[in-house]
Amino acid sequence: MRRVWALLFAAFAALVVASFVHAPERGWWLPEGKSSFAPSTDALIRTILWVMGAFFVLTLGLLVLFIWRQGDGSNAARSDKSSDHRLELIWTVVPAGVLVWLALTQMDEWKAMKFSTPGAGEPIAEVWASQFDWRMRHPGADGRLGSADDWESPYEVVVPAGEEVRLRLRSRDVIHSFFVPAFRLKQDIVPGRAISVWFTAEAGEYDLVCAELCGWGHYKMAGRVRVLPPEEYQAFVQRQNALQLSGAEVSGR
Amino acid sequence: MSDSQAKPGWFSSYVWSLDHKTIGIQFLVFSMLMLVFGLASSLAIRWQLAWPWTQMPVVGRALFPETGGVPTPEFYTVLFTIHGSVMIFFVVIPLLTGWLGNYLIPLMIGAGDMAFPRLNALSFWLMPPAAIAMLAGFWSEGGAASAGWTAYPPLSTSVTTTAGGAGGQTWWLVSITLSGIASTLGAINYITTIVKLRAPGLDWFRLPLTVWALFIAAILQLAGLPVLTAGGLMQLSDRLFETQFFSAQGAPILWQHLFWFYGHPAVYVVILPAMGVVSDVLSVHARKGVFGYRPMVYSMLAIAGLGFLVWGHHMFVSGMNPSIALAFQISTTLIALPAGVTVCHGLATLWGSRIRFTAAMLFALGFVALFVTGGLSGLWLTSTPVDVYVHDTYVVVGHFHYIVFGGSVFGLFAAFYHWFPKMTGRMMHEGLGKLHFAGTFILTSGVFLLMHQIGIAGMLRRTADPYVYESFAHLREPNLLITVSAILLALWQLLFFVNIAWSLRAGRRVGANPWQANSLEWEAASPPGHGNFSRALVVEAGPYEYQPSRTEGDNRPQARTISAP
Amino acid sequence: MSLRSVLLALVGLLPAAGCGFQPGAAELAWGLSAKSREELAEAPQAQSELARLLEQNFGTPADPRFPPAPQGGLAELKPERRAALERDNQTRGLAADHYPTPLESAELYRVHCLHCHGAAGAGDGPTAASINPKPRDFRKGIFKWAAVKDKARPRREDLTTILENGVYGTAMHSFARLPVAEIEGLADHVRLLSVRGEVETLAVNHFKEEDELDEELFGEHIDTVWSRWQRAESKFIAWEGEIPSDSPAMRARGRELYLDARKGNCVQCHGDAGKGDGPAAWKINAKGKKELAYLDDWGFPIQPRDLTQGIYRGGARPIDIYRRIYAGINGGPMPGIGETKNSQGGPLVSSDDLWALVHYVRSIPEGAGP
Repeated sequence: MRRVWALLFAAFAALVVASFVHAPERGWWLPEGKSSFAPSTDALIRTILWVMGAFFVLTLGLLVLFIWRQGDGSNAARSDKSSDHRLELIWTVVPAGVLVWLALTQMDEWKAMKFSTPGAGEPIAEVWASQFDWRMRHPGADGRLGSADDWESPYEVVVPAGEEVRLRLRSRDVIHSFFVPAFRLKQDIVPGRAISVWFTAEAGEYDLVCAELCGWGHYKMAGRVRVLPPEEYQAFVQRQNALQLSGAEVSGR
Repeated sequence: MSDSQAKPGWFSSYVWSLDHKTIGIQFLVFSMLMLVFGLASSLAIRWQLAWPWTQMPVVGRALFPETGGVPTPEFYTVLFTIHGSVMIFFVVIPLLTGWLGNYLIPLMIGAGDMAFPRLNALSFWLMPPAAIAMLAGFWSEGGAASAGWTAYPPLSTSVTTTAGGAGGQTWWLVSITLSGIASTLGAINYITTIVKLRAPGLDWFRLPLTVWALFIAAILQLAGLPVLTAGGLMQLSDRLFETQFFSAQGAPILWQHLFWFYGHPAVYVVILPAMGVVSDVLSVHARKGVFGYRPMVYSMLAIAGLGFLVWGHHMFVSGMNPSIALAFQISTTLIALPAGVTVCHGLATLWGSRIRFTAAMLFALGFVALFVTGGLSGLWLTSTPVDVYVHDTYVVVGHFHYIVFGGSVFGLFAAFYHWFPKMTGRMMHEGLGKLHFAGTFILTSGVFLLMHQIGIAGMLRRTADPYVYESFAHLREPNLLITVSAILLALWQLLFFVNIAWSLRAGRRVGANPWQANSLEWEAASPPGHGNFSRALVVEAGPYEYQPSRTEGDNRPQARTISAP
Repeated sequence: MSLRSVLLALVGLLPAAGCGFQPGAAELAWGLSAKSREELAEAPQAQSELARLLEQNFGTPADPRFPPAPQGGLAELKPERRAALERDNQTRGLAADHYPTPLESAELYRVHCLHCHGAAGAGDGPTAASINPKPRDFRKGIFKWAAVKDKARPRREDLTTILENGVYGTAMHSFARLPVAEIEGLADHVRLLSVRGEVETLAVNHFKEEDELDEELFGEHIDTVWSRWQRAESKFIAWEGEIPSDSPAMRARGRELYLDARKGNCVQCHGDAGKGDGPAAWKINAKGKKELAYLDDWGFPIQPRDLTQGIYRGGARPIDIYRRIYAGINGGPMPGIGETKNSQGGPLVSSDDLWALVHYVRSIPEGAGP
């Protein structure tokens, strides 16, 4: 029987490893990264995955080996070692070293994400979250938020590509979360507070997702970040500013 | 103590019983009943994720007449709220502390009962009202609580932001507070009992690891629960008296601190006892002492101590000061160390052992494999930049289900198969138990493994229909696989219940010590009578001495019975 | 039963559970509205005849039909919208003229809209219970947020604009993530439910007055209702050219009109500071408690908009506010002043003054917001 059980555990380990090997092939893995945060975050995810994989294979390998070897149920003598300081030292110090190394390597990344506050001044737009809507406020012709010439866009925030973009996140009711999977960027939006996020992104259209439970409609609180090349972005802003002063119909589609 | 004592009546034997064993079994039965709700809601969740907006089988037509039997989005939020709350507060915590703590502590330390039997009965009898309060939400205006088991304000404190906000959320708070009080009373009792009522000769370092783990878990409960209870009362006050503790004018994030200050140690409340049980089961069925007993104790203490310093890793994207996040990142990384060390000791215990493949042993081995898997995937969550991406995705769901289901529940199964003979005087059907293990072991990964990959793909938890986003539309296939596995896993558990039913009537009768184990509970009769031990015990050894000798078996019981010939 | 047979049964069940499984379809029915059933309580035959005619003409949720436009609204799209639809279809790898069938539109409605608006569009879906303001009951044919005057039916664009922009400040969020073709399909289905509801009411009322109900008459009812919808385009409130620009002088003029009891008189309901607390909007009830004075056409108490919030349900552009002030809000007590005449027969408020009011209203949130 011990062989059966050893094989069952080996099958489990193989299943786990295989799932991580095959998932990217099926697309059940990181979406393509499109912001300046993506390469380092993805690298970190992979590095940690390799560390996990190494520990996993080692531990499960030993487990399977022991089940295979020690499972005879006989009455033979046991190893009477109840401690082994050298061994204990190894399995404490080696993982500790790896963990400390991991903790330290990601500090730079965190610093780049959180401590490199871009210049002051108005953000490109204010992102207002409410149950279950994204509503973006752009400063309008006067470049100032909170004035009557601000313009609103439902659902979609439009930003320039290739430069650092800052958005100010506001909530009208409960906690929401600004999550753009392609940017590897997530930030909770807390009512009563104005929290800024910044990123540098490539041109394209990206899903904006609410990542914090905000009520029954949480699942459909969908938005979009449209990143335009800088010239197109300028033209877009001009057009939107002008539209404020006209009666023309717009659908944005 | 003796047969001459008057037999207590039915009411005081089975209902208001002061006997720790009865109370333990009351917790067991209660939690298994609550498990039905937790399990049913998880299957309903899986149904929606595999076949969104289709008629739900069996209950659909009755529950959702207006939509033609299709679940509604607000009901989905109720489902995961109830699933999380019931499973945490009414299934795993009561099983691991209530059942194991009550049933095992006095037996394993050689005591006749708990230190405070009445407090003990009260701690159980607060649970049914708490459960009723949780379910009462379903009949209140707007339906049951639907703000998640974490109940973040202002979603949870406002009466208008969720369907359950009208009444269900208040019932939820009442329920959580009652169960918190119950757990606090239990914790006081466990700690006192272990400190004061150990048999003569039973030093701290002769305690089985199960007792150590239950002791540490009780300390965690005692230190953490008052914070949650205070937070719960503040929420209640926000809801009922319009105070502004957690509103936009107040501090919504304060609740997250209070909640996770208990909520994270609660994870260790449910994992440490399982770890203790598994250490003991491994030792008994591998016929070898636990490797590195003291380091194990110190590791568990370290986990508990660090456990109170890591709550902030639930809040890396909450808007908390990013400098504080760095501190929490380091403490969280560090807690992986003692957790890893316990696994190494588990493995080293097996080295040079003689394994008997009983169902209990298999579940203990399964615990090791699954706990390692879940623990390692937690590494992603320790890393702040990675957590920014994976926070609130299925990576988190996969990770903690490996810990709570693969870890705690496998520990519970191991405990059940191991101590069932003690509780009933009969063996369970081993073949059935092994079959139960094999299917459960593989299907557990069928359910929770792919959650990591779809989480890395960005799929969020708590969304009724992730496929509304183009980014996630291709994830229906893995979700379908997960759902089918979940249904199979649930059905597979029928084997367990069939086994219980069969074994209760027809299981082989056993004596006091069917596993040839060392610890004190095996000195008592199976099942133990009132007062537990018919003779006074003196402890002469630790619980982990196994070595073949010429005279008898390969074990050396901890106790010498004084009046033995 | 032996243990072995239990086991065999279990093992046999497992593969069966996984393979080729198809979940059950939703079981929906439109039926008659509660009001119709009540009105025709004495005439069971008319009830069943009405139900039959409704089903014959409009089908069922599983087989929806819309007699005025059986193929859906593709042919009705204006050139720019048609171009947008084709562009959008092509980016999704679909045929340029891809358009949902009536059944596909009904399915989209079932998934996205039904849980609030209800199967028949009565605003009585299960989620409606936890929503305030309540979801629209389409069956009256009244839509608040449309760029039309004279309480006309909405244009097609008004429906799709609401679908794409949402009604800010309510649970009606933006559905802009849906493809253009699906938005149009949803507009078709909403229109189907709305027309169906209007026809049903018309038929019931007619029966009560004339005691008549037959196929020919029912066809006439459909024509009557449909002609209302077809008038929408002619009721559009257009504004050509540049909008008079915002200035302190304009705002000051707007403020005057806001307070002027003979002209804007906005202050009566919206209050001096624009907080929606004007004297006319509230009354003291029999119990001495303050309550809202007006009900909307659906019977819900209605509160004047708090203009300090900067949340405008029908759109936040100046032109949107202009249309609100010009035509009022259909279904609610807000009157339009765009076509009110003064005693000499000229316009009561000039278009420049209307714009002054618009600029003043849009300036209220400045400094008042959070």
